[in-house]
Amino acid sequence: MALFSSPAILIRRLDYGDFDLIITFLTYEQGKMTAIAKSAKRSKKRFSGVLELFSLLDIVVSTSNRKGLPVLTEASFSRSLNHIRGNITKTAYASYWAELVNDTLEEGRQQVAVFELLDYALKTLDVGDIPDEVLSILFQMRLLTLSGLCPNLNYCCTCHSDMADNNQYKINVDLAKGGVVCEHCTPYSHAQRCLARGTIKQLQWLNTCDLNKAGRMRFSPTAMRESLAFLEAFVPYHLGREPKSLKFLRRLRLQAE
Amino acid sequence: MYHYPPSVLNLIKHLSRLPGIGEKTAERLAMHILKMSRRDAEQLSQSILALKESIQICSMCFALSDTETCKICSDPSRDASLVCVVEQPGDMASIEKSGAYPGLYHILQGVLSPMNNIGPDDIHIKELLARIASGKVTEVVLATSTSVEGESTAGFIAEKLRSLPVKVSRIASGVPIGGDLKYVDQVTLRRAMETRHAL
Repeated sequence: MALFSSPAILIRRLDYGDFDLIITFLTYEQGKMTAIAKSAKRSKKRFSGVLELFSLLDIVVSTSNRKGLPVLTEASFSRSLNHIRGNITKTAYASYWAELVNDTLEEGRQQVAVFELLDYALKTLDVGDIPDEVLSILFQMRLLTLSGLCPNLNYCCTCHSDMADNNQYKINVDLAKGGVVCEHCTPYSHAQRCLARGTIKQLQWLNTCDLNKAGRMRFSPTAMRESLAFLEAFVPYHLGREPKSLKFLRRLRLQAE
Repeated sequence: MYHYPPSVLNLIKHLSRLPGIGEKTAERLAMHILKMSRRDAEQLSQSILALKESIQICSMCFALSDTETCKICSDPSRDASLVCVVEQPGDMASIEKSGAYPGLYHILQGVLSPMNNIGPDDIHIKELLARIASGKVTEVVLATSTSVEGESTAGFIAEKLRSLPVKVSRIASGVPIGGDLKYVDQVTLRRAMETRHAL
């Protein structure tokens, strides 16, 4: 039996039986990891109030060569997120990001960049320095890049012509081809939506800028709407399913309108 | 297991479907039922059937009830100006056991959960707002759980009630009686400090 300890963000929590929980963490040391927390729901000492979604914890997990899930033996708060808890919109965004991380990562492979990205996004969402929507655009763009699915916004996906030479104000996007298509290739593609040139530049900047400067980005309402609509169509298309929390987010936005 | 007759095996199979009951426990319970008097066994089976036939949801608070409105909603001694919002009937039972609450309840039958796509239309929030808008209620106590989902549900309801002339309060969270401070998590301790009271 080996003990493993690491900082970890709790990204999924499932009830198992009457008192146990099956918990998925994004750990700093070993990437995504699922463990069982035995008697967690009635625990008053080991896990009391600690195993909450999106919390940054210091965990100790016991792994063995036998079959079965690793067992969570200790967990303590490194940081709790007080403002996300009471706000359903922030909770919905955090849930969407956690679901994306859970769906895109493989178990047991270290993913420091994804850990740092999720940690930054949750921390900033809690503080509220950057609008939730901008943070979601940044998170999706960067996670897609880290997963090798970054939308191609530089060259036409069909003829590979440089989009910097393109003078069109609106540029078509083909989800199946994974990025933008020029006006000559549009008739031969399945482009269903378009992005303004300015929006494309903002997306490219958000994808490469220093995270601490991301708050400087100002999106116009149209650019924000366009970017969110594009990414929230691009991500489910390449994931092969629409995340439940994205469905929830859409319902919430409809209610707010 | 095949040394039991089919009627016993059938009972074991059905009992083992209950939560927390495995095949061995089911076997023990089946043997116990076998030893019971016929009258006791009949009472047990009839009470299970009666439960399925008579239980309905209270039309006012959505609690479990034998009648259209539950005992608490139809009790004239309860304070009808006070409504406590809880997630499940079990939560209502816990508050009732404490004997500390004189008002009525509203059971949401769930909690907002983005990861399960459970939205405001899937739980009884609309009915709560209609109930409050009727004008008899002066205070709403939000007693959803203190998990992320419970807290955000409370925040969502509080936001919806902001435009209505009603006081909205949230149950306090703090150090449990007999609890050891060193085992209390930092969020709970912080809240306990923030909501401390003079002696």
